[in-house]
Amino acid sequence: MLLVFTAFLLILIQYRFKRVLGWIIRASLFIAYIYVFSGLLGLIMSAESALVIGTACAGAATFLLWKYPEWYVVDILGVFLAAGVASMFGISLEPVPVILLLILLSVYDAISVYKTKHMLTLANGVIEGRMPIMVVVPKKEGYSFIRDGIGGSIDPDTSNDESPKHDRAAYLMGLGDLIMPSILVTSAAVFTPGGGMGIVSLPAIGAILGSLAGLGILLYAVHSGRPQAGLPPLNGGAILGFLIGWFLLTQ
Amino acid sequence: MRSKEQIREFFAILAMPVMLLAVEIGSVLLAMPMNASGYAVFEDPHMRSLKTQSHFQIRYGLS
Repeated sequence: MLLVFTAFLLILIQYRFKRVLGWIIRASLFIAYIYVFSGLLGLIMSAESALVIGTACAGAATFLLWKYPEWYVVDILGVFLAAGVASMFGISLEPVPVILLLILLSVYDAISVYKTKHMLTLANGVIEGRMPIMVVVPKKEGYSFIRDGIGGSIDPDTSNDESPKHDRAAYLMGLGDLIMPSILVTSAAVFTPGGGMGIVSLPAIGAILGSLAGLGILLYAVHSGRPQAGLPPLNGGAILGFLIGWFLLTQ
Repeated sequence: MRSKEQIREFFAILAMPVMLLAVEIGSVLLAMPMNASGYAVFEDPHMRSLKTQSHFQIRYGLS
Protein backbone atom coordinates (compact mmCIF):
# COMPACT_ATOMS: atom_id res chain seq x y z
CA MET A 1 0.00 0.00 0.00
CA LEU A 2 2.81 2.37 1.03
CA LEU A 3 4.83 1.51 -2.09
CA VAL A 4 1.82 1.85 -4.41
CA PHE A 5 0.93 5.26 -2.97
CA THR A 6 4.58 6.43 -3.19
CA ALA A 7 4.70 5.31 -6.85
CA PHE A 8 1.46 7.22 -7.51
CA LEU A 9 2.88 10.41 -5.94
CA LEU A 10 6.13 10.06 -7.92
CA ILE A 11 4.16 9.70 -11.17
CA LEU A 12 2.24 12.89 -10.31
CA ILE A 13 5.55 14.76 -9.73
CA GLN A 14 7.21 13.26 -12.82
CA TYR A 15 4.37 14.18 -15.18
CA ARG A 16 3.91 17.69 -13.75
CA PHE A 17 0.62 16.99 -11.97
CA LYS A 18 1.79 18.89 -8.91
CA ARG A 19 -1.59 20.59 -8.48
CA VAL A 20 -3.22 17.16 -8.08
CA LEU A 21 -0.52 16.21 -5.57
CA GLY A 22 -1.24 19.45 -3.70
CA TRP A 23 -4.95 18.64 -3.48
CA ILE A 24 -4.25 15.07 -2.29
CA ILE A 25 -1.99 16.39 0.49
CA ARG A 26 -4.48 19.11 1.48
CA ALA A 27 -7.33 16.56 1.59
CA SER A 28 -5.18 14.24 3.75
CA LEU A 29 -4.31 17.10 6.12
CA PHE A 30 -7.97 18.12 6.35
CA ILE A 31 -9.08 14.59 7.31
CA ALA A 32 -6.26 14.23 9.85
CA TYR A 33 -7.12 17.61 11.42
CA ILE A 34 -10.81 16.58 11.73
CA TYR A 35 -9.73 13.60 13.86
CA VAL A 36 -7.37 15.66 16.01
CA PHE A 37 -9.70 18.63 16.60
CA SER A 38 -12.90 16.64 17.12
CA GLY A 39 -11.05 14.17 19.37
CA LEU A 40 -9.95 17.02 21.60
CA LEU A 41 -13.22 18.94 21.50
CA GLY A 42 -15.08 15.72 22.41
CA LEU A 43 -13.80 16.22 25.94
CA ILE A 44 -15.69 19.45 26.52
CA MET A 45 -18.81 19.02 24.36
CA SER A 46 -21.10 16.40 22.86
CA ALA A 47 -19.74 14.18 20.06
CA GLU A 48 -21.99 15.80 17.41
CA SER A 49 -20.91 19.35 18.31
CA ALA A 50 -17.25 18.24 18.51
CA LEU A 51 -17.48 16.77 15.01
CA VAL A 52 -19.10 19.90 13.54
CA ILE A 53 -16.74 22.39 15.25
CA GLY A 54 -13.74 20.05 14.70
CA THR A 55 -14.52 19.94 10.96
CA ALA A 56 -14.75 23.75 10.88
CA CYS A 57 -11.40 24.08 12.73
CA ALA A 58 -9.84 21.51 10.37
CA GLY A 59 -11.10 23.49 7.37
CA ALA A 60 -9.66 26.72 8.82
CA ALA A 61 -6.26 25.09 9.53
CA THR A 62 -6.07 23.53 6.04
CA PHE A 63 -7.10 26.81 4.40
CA LEU A 64 -4.43 28.73 6.38
CA LEU A 65 -1.75 26.20 5.35
CA TRP A 66 -2.87 26.43 1.73
CA LYS A 67 -3.08 30.22 1.45
CA TYR A 68 -0.36 31.30 3.87
CA PRO A 69 2.25 28.53 4.31
CA GLU A 70 4.76 30.74 6.17
CA TRP A 71 7.30 28.82 8.25
CA TYR A 72 5.81 29.64 11.66
CA VAL A 73 2.27 28.70 10.50
CA VAL A 74 3.61 25.43 9.06
CA ASP A 75 5.58 24.72 12.27
CA ILE A 76 2.79 25.43 14.79
CA LEU A 77 0.09 23.53 12.87
CA GLY A 78 2.59 20.80 11.92
CA VAL A 79 3.65 20.15 15.54
CA PHE A 80 -0.02 20.06 16.60
CA LEU A 81 -0.95 17.65 13.79
CA ALA A 82 2.07 15.42 14.45
CA ALA A 83 1.22 15.21 18.17
CA GLY A 84 -2.41 14.35 17.41
CA VAL A 85 -1.60 11.68 14.80
CA ALA A 86 1.14 10.14 16.99
CA SER A 87 -1.32 10.08 19.86
CA MET A 88 -4.00 8.26 17.83
CA PHE A 89 -1.54 5.59 16.64
CA GLY A 90 0.11 5.34 20.08
CA ILE A 91 -3.13 4.59 21.93
CA SER A 92 -4.10 2.02 19.27
CA LEU A 93 -0.94 -0.10 19.13
CA GLU A 94 1.06 -1.82 21.85
CA PRO A 95 4.86 -1.27 21.89
CA VAL A 96 5.80 -4.56 20.11
CA PRO A 97 3.86 -3.86 16.86
CA VAL A 98 5.03 -0.22 17.06
CA ILE A 99 8.68 -1.37 17.24
CA LEU A 100 8.15 -3.66 14.21
CA LEU A 101 6.52 -0.76 12.30
CA LEU A 102 9.40 1.57 13.21
CA ILE A 103 12.02 -0.95 12.06
CA LEU A 104 10.22 -1.56 8.74
CA LEU A 105 9.82 2.16 8.05
CA SER A 106 13.49 2.82 8.95
CA VAL A 107 14.63 0.23 6.40
CA TYR A 108 12.26 1.67 3.79
CA ASP A 109 13.48 5.23 4.52
CA ALA A 110 17.16 4.22 4.23
CA ILE A 111 16.57 2.41 0.91
CA SER A 112 14.50 5.29 -0.53
CA VAL A 113 17.10 7.95 0.41
CA TYR A 114 20.44 6.16 -0.19
CA LYS A 115 19.67 3.51 -2.82
CA THR A 116 16.67 4.32 -5.04
CA LYS A 117 16.78 8.05 -4.05
CA HIS A 118 13.08 8.42 -4.88
CA MET A 119 12.46 10.02 -1.47
CA LEU A 120 14.64 12.97 -2.54
CA THR A 121 12.53 13.46 -5.70
CA LEU A 122 9.39 13.26 -3.58
CA ALA A 123 10.79 15.73 -1.01
CA ASN A 124 11.82 18.17 -3.76
CA GLY A 125 8.31 18.07 -5.23
CA VAL A 126 6.81 18.71 -1.82
CA ILE A 127 9.17 21.63 -1.09
CA GLU A 128 8.66 23.22 -4.51
CA GLY A 129 4.89 23.12 -3.94
CA ARG A 130 5.34 24.60 -0.40
CA MET A 131 3.32 21.70 0.93
CA PRO A 132 3.04 21.86 4.70
CA ILE A 133 4.02 18.31 5.67
CA MET A 134 7.30 19.28 7.30
CA VAL A 135 8.69 21.64 9.90
CA VAL A 136 10.91 24.50 8.75
CA VAL A 137 13.55 26.25 10.87
CA PRO A 138 15.03 29.40 9.32
CA LYS A 139 18.78 29.95 9.54
CA LYS A 140 18.76 33.50 8.19
CA GLU A 141 17.09 36.70 9.34
CA GLY A 142 14.06 37.84 7.33
CA TYR A 143 13.55 34.34 5.92
CA SER A 144 10.20 33.53 4.28
CA PHE A 145 9.25 29.96 3.36
CA ILE A 146 6.69 31.27 0.84
CA ARG A 147 9.26 33.46 -0.91
CA ASP A 148 12.54 31.54 -0.45
CA GLY A 149 11.61 27.86 -0.04
CA ILE A 150 14.86 26.35 1.25
CA GLY A 151 16.98 28.31 -1.19
CA GLY A 152 17.73 25.43 -3.59
CA SER A 153 17.21 21.74 -4.26
CA ILE A 154 17.87 19.09 -1.64
CA ASP A 155 18.61 16.50 -4.31
CA PRO A 156 22.34 16.70 -5.13
CA ASP A 157 21.72 15.12 -8.56
CA THR A 158 19.22 17.75 -9.68
CA SER A 159 20.58 20.78 -7.87
CA ASN A 160 22.02 23.59 -10.01
CA ASP A 161 23.00 25.56 -6.96
CA GLU A 162 26.77 25.73 -6.49
CA SER A 163 26.67 26.96 -2.91
CA PRO A 164 27.35 24.40 -0.16
CA LYS A 165 24.23 22.71 1.23
CA HIS A 166 24.85 23.99 4.76
CA ASP A 167 24.42 27.53 3.36
CA ARG A 168 20.75 26.88 2.67
CA ALA A 169 18.31 29.31 4.23
CA ALA A 170 16.47 26.77 6.41
CA TYR A 171 16.56 23.33 8.02
CA LEU A 172 13.71 20.97 7.16
CA MET A 173 12.36 17.88 8.85
CA GLY A 174 9.45 15.80 7.54
CA LEU A 175 6.44 15.34 9.84
CA GLY A 176 6.98 11.57 9.59
CA ASP A 177 10.33 11.97 11.36
CA LEU A 178 8.51 13.64 14.26
CA ILE A 179 5.51 11.30 14.29
CA MET A 180 7.21 7.88 14.21
CA PRO A 181 9.31 8.02 17.42
CA SER A 182 6.41 9.83 19.14
CA ILE A 183 4.12 6.85 18.44
CA LEU A 184 6.47 4.65 20.47
CA VAL A 185 6.65 7.26 23.27
CA THR A 186 2.83 7.40 23.50
CA SER A 187 2.43 3.64 23.24
CA ALA A 188 5.04 3.17 26.00
CA ALA A 189 3.26 5.73 28.22
CA VAL A 190 -0.14 4.06 27.69
CA PHE A 191 0.76 0.35 27.73
CA THR A 192 3.84 0.16 30.00
CA PRO A 193 2.99 2.54 32.86
CA GLY A 194 5.11 3.08 35.96
CA GLY A 195 8.50 4.18 37.14
CA GLY A 196 8.57 7.59 35.51
CA MET A 197 7.12 11.02 36.11
CA GLY A 198 3.32 11.27 36.18
CA ILE A 199 1.79 9.81 33.01
CA VAL A 200 5.21 9.55 31.31
CA SER A 201 6.49 6.08 32.25
CA LEU A 202 10.14 4.98 32.45
CA PRO A 203 10.09 3.23 29.02
CA ALA A 204 8.48 6.40 27.55
CA ILE A 205 11.24 8.56 29.08
CA GLY A 206 13.79 6.11 27.65
CA ALA A 207 12.19 6.43 24.19
CA ILE A 208 12.21 10.26 24.45
CA LEU A 209 15.90 10.38 25.45
CA GLY A 210 16.80 7.78 22.81
CA SER A 211 15.05 9.69 20.02
CA LEU A 212 16.75 12.94 21.10
CA ALA A 213 20.14 11.16 20.98
CA GLY A 214 19.21 9.81 17.52
CA LEU A 215 18.31 13.34 16.42
CA GLY A 216 21.73 14.54 17.63
CA ILE A 217 23.39 11.93 15.41
CA LEU A 218 21.12 12.90 12.51
CA LEU A 219 21.87 16.63 12.84
CA TYR A 220 25.60 15.90 12.95
CA ALA A 221 25.26 13.86 9.74
CA VAL A 222 23.06 16.51 8.08
CA HIS A 223 25.72 19.16 8.81
CA SER A 224 27.96 17.41 6.27
CA GLY A 225 25.60 18.81 3.62
CA ARG A 226 24.21 15.54 2.21
CA PRO A 227 20.51 14.66 2.65
CA GLN A 228 20.08 11.93 5.26
CA ALA A 229 17.40 9.36 6.04
CA GLY A 230 15.90 10.59 9.31
CA LEU A 231 14.06 7.51 10.51
CA PRO A 232 16.99 5.07 11.09
CA PRO A 233 18.69 7.19 13.82
CA LEU A 234 15.43 8.56 15.26
CA ASN A 235 13.58 5.23 15.41
CA GLY A 236 16.73 3.32 16.37
CA GLY A 237 17.36 5.69 19.29
CA ALA A 238 13.73 5.56 20.41
CA ILE A 239 13.64 1.74 20.31
CA LEU A 240 16.94 1.42 22.19
CA GLY A 241 15.81 3.97 24.79
CA PHE A 242 12.47 2.19 25.21
CA LEU A 243 14.18 -1.18 25.72
CA ILE A 244 16.56 0.27 28.34
CA GLY A 245 13.62 1.94 30.15
CA TRP A 246 11.58 -1.27 30.00
CA PHE A 247 14.55 -3.28 31.32
CA LEU A 248 15.01 -0.85 34.23
CA LEU A 249 11.24 -0.96 34.96
CA THR A 250 11.14 -4.74 35.17
CA GLN A 251 14.22 -5.00 37.44
CA MET B 1 34.05 35.30 19.66
CA ARG B 2 31.24 33.63 17.75
CA SER B 3 29.70 35.54 14.91
CA LYS B 4 26.02 36.43 14.87
CA GLU B 5 25.38 33.92 12.09
CA GLN B 6 26.95 31.05 14.06
CA ILE B 7 24.77 31.85 17.07
CA ARG B 8 21.68 32.02 14.83
CA GLU B 9 22.57 28.66 13.28
CA PHE B 10 23.08 27.16 16.73
CA PHE B 11 19.55 28.23 17.74
CA ALA B 12 18.17 26.88 14.45
CA ILE B 13 19.75 23.49 15.24
CA LEU B 14 18.43 23.67 18.82
CA ALA B 15 14.88 24.23 17.50
CA MET B 16 14.77 20.71 16.01
CA PRO B 17 15.05 18.77 19.32
CA VAL B 18 12.66 21.29 20.91
CA MET B 19 10.06 20.50 18.24
CA LEU B 20 10.63 16.74 18.56
CA LEU B 21 10.21 17.03 22.33
CA ALA B 22 7.05 19.14 21.87
CA VAL B 23 5.51 16.47 19.61
CA GLU B 24 6.48 13.62 21.97
CA ILE B 25 5.18 15.31 25.14
CA GLY B 26 2.17 16.64 23.22
CA SER B 27 1.25 13.18 21.93
CA VAL B 28 1.39 11.74 25.48
CA LEU B 29 -0.77 14.60 26.80
CA LEU B 30 -3.25 14.18 23.94
CA ALA B 31 -3.43 10.40 24.53
CA MET B 32 -5.89 10.80 27.39
CA PRO B 33 -8.49 12.98 25.58
CA MET B 34 -8.07 10.92 22.39
CA ASN B 35 -8.64 7.72 24.34
CA ALA B 36 -11.67 9.24 26.07
CA SER B 37 -13.11 10.25 22.69
CA GLY B 38 -12.76 6.67 21.49
CA TYR B 39 -10.49 7.56 18.58
CA ALA B 40 -8.28 4.63 17.67
CA VAL B 41 -6.55 3.81 14.40
CA PHE B 42 -6.37 0.04 14.85
CA GLU B 43 -8.14 -2.00 17.42
CA ASP B 44 -7.89 -5.65 18.38
CA PRO B 45 -11.47 -7.01 17.93
CA HIS B 46 -10.94 -9.43 20.83
CA MET B 47 -9.77 -6.64 23.13
CA ARG B 48 -12.60 -4.39 21.96
CA SER B 49 -15.23 -6.92 22.91
CA LEU B 50 -13.76 -7.02 26.41
CA LYS B 51 -13.71 -3.26 26.88
CA THR B 52 -16.54 -0.97 27.82
CA GLN B 53 -17.70 1.07 24.85
CA SER B 54 -16.48 4.64 24.81
CA HIS B 55 -18.69 7.71 24.91
CA PHE B 56 -18.01 8.33 21.20
CA GLN B 57 -18.87 4.75 20.20
CA ILE B 58 -22.11 4.82 22.16
CA ARG B 59 -23.16 8.19 20.69
CA TYR B 60 -22.55 7.04 17.12
CA GLY B 61 -23.79 3.50 17.58
CA LEU B 62 -20.39 2.01 16.73
CA SER B 63 -19.84 -1.49 18.06
